Amino acid sequence: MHEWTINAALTFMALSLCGGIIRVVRGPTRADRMLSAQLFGSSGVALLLLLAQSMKMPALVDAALVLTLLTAVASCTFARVVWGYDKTGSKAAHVVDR
Amino acid sequence: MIELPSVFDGLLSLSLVLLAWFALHSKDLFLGIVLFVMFGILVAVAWLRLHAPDIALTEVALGAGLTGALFLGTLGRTEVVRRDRGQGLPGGRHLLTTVLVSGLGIVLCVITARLAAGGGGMGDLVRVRLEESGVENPVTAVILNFRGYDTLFEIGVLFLALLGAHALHQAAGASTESLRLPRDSMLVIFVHIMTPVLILTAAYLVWVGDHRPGGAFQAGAILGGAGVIILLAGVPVSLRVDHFRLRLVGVLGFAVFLVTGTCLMVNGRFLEYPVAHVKWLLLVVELACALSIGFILSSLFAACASLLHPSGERGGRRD
Amino acid sequence: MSLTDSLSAGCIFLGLMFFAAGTIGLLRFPDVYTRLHALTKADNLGLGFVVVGLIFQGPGWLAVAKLLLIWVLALISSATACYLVAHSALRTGIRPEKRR
Repeated sequence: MHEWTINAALTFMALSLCGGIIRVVRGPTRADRMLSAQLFGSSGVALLLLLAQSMKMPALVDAALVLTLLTAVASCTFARVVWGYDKTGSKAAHVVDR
Repeated sequence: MIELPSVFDGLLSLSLVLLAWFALHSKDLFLGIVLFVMFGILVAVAWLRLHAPDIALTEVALGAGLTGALFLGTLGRTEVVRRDRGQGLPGGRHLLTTVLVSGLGIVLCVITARLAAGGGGMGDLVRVRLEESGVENPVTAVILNFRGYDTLFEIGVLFLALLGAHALHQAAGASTESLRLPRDSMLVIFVHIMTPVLILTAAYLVWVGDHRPGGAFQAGAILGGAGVIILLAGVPVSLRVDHFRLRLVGVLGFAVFLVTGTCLMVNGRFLEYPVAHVKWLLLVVELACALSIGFILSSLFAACASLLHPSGERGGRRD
Repeated sequence: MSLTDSLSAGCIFLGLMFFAAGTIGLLRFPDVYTRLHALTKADNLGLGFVVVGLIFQGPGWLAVAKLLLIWVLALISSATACYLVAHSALRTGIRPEKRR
């Protein structure tokens, strides 16, 4: 496969990641920021897969697998502990913050 | 025409610096943590571009996943929102800090340039003696065989850190009451699906660690992730260090490593592996370390997020 | 370029389009819930296309199986994360935008 195809794809993905940076800095609520981390996770997986093809290192597919598995861990922690319920089960205090 | 890989590398470096800057200067702790997680993912990509897949695997597992979870769990329990308006340090110290950090940066650049140009370091030495180590992955050979002392003490230090976290948690007493998470049925299903996958992936990484990037630390981080989502689902599992069986799991890695090293003193020196059996010995040690690290990370998360059950609750085994 | 390579390139290109759609959605949609849609649906589809494109290049069944496993796990993980974030957002009182 032509080198430039994969390289163009990589550059494109990197640009797409920059969009995530904009959202994380701007996003009004905490969920928006966490969503950007999720975006980085998914795009990161695609990026790693493309890199595995481009650099001819099949081990990177393992890295992509690990990233897929563990991105969910951070998101779940956010949803349950940071934004979740306090001891009495009522809603958490923070809604929108700066 | 500009080479496309270097455009990608340039974007990557720029994003790394940008993310680090934002993470350090953000006025909100949560924003800083999220930026740190994103930074971790990009750093893993950078490691891959530098042809270091083992470190990239570890960075992905620990930096992007578990450290993020640890920070978020702690934040959720302490909820300190920094509201300083950027007063910063008093005047003189700003200058001193800038000078010191710039100096460090320049030294690092010089060292890196020299490494890139002269090919220094011990890579060739390791490659020459790789068959003696019994594994084909040079990183695993260095970690477990050539520099086994370091790893032995690292695992010991991890367990000590866990004890410290638990001691602090208990010392804080009533102010850190356990957070009782309600059982979320969707998350329980997710745990049912993911835990076997995580355990299998961890086992795969340990097995594959001797000829491909992998190894005990990555596998341990994945097992830690499994422990974290089990805790988050509200499954009543206790990860306190008081329980004897759990303490055994935590110490297992260090103990196995130490015992192996000592038993080898019969024929040689401490931790000097006999070339015939080194592969299996290393596998046993790696397995024990992975289990230990997994338990330690899960329990650390439980302590940070105050998810330890109060005493008197029924304890279960983390499985 | 051989047929396999063109198919790969085509699929990867489609995948990139979906990733771009996801990012643009994340930037432009009005509130959390719509951004969740953009992120979890478009990105996963993009990942699926990239995976399919790379399967055409793949050396052997094991690599193909691994790639498909990654995609399935990504689907499961992001669906769960999406549900959790949306549920928590509702709980903390964020209401969907009702602009017409």
